[in-house]
Amino acid sequence: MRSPHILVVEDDREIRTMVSRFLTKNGCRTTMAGDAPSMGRALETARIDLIILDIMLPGEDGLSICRRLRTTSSTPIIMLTAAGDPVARVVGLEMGADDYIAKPFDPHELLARIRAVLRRAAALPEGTEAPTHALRFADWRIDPVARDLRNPEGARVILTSAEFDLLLAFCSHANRTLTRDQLLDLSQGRSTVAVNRSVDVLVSRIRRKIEHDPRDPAFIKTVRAGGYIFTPQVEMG
Amino acid sequence: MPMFNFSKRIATQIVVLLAISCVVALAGVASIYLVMAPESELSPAAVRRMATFVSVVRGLEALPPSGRAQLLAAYQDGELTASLLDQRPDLHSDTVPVSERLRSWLDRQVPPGARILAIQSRGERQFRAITELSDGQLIAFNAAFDDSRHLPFPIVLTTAFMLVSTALLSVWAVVRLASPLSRFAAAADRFGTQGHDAPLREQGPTEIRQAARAFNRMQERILRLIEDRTRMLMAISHDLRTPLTRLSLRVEELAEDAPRQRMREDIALMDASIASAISYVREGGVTEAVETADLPSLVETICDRFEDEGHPIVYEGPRHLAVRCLPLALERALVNLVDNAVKFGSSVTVRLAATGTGDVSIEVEDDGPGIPDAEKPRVLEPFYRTDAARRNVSGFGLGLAIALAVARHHAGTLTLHDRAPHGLRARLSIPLAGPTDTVRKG
Repeated sequence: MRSPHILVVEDDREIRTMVSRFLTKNGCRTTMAGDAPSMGRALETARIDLIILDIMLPGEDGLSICRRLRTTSSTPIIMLTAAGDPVARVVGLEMGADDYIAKPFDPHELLARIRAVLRRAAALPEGTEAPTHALRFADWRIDPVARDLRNPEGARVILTSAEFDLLLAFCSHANRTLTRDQLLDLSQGRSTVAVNRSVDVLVSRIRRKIEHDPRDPAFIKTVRAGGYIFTPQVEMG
Repeated sequence: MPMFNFSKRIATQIVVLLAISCVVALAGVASIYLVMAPESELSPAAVRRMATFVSVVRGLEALPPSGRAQLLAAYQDGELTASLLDQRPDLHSDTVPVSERLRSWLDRQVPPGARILAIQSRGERQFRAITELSDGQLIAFNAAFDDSRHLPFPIVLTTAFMLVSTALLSVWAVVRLASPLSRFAAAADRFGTQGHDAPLREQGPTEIRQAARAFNRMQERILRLIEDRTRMLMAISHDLRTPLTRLSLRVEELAEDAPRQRMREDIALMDASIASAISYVREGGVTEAVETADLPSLVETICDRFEDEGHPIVYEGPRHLAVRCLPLALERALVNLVDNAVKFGSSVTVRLAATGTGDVSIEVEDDGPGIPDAEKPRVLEPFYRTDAARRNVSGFGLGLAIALAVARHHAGTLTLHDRAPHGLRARLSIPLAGPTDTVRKG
């Protein structure tokens, strides 16, 4: 894999420089920008694989930039913010960011996130976007934007990010056998825990939360020597 | 809900006060009537009959004995009949109870010379007044008892009027005085619980309007203080997070032999402290909406997270249970409880159960040293840490205080119990129906 080109958009000069130095040391190429106009110039001159975007910027803020970029490109974006605010997180993801990391962050975690987002982007065939509208299966409802799963009674079922991404991957690939490797790539984008559980553990945890009888699953079935298959009919809504 | 103590309600007190003043006023009016005008003991009809009686007596006194029978015959009517008595009756005393005052008033009415010898009852409905004229002639006046004789008419009317106005005044008292005061108390009680900081309507009597205005100003000041405090903390945390970010990046640029891991741990500790302070301040003004959530999925998610970090933890409870709650706040509270448990214990059990009384309880149990009874209430206070925690654990000591604030936001409780043989059991209990709008205490 060629070294990815990362654009670091951050108004604090020192943070910007050190992030980019750290990423360079770890095999990335980097370009720096301090605000929206210089970011625009960087995007015109180079092919950028991923943007690290600070929310608090002078002039146009990160959320607005993110929304604007999403109308023209699908370049992965990781939002950076000082407020560890769950609301800002949801807003950031609604604006189309691929992931979100709160300051102060461990640079190694940032690197792990960058790799996961890039791997996920690569795993998706060209042109297939992650679903941006709610899906239904067997009276369950999953909303990828609000990251909200509702059981048939309408109660919100809480999943970890990894579990949610995995279930979403199942829903958008219903009735297709998915290998553990495919599922791993599809589900690791937003995992906040550094420890990545095996797909089998994640599947058993999802089954515990959504299956009527987790030992005799009706939704996520194990395919012998193959992986898993999600059997319910999935509809938009 | 405050105890419904009827005798202490303002409306009751006003009504009692009005009733007492009515009775006093009536007693005053009645005594004035009775002293100044004894005839007011009589009904208007009786007074009229009395006047007839007096004028008949005057006429009789003026006539010679031969003409008296003729005059008496002319005065016969339904209400009053009179006849000449030829001989003295056997009984000379009154057999009808007449007050002394009324009797002397009656005596004064008859012309000089004549006198009323006796007032005697004749059966149940009739009485007669035996009168002696100045020449010794006896006359018996017969009349019917008047039923209203013992309830003087003006007093009856006054009483009825006062009762009606008391009733109307009570209605007014309840509407104008008591209900604005009750609203006032309810607003003061609600203030500080979730989403109840709208100003009080300024209405009712002047004093109550002034009190409501003062309450609104106080509420505004408190809200402004909270907001200032929140804003200050947010500003501090934002300003700290930028240098902390720089610091954590700088650590990466240090030489390999520098104590980088320990520096990272210190940075993580500072970050966690800031996060807990922000989270504590946020609990003062939660912005999250109440929604129905599957509580076991939330608890299991937290357990899984701690298990992934290497802590032995067991979940016991139903697989599904829908509860009205603030999921993010509840998650924060439970994470704090479990975090405490894994710090002090080597194995942790989280137990979820719906109680028969419409509550759901979540117990987090560890096998650590536990907390002595004397310390239990204090560890729930913000910024308090046990000696053990001071030695081992980082942070501002806000974990349990945040959990308690979250429990209260759900109109629930957080209690600490001993576990046998040793250890702590923290029980967070909230109503299944979720935080309600009803007034709640504490």
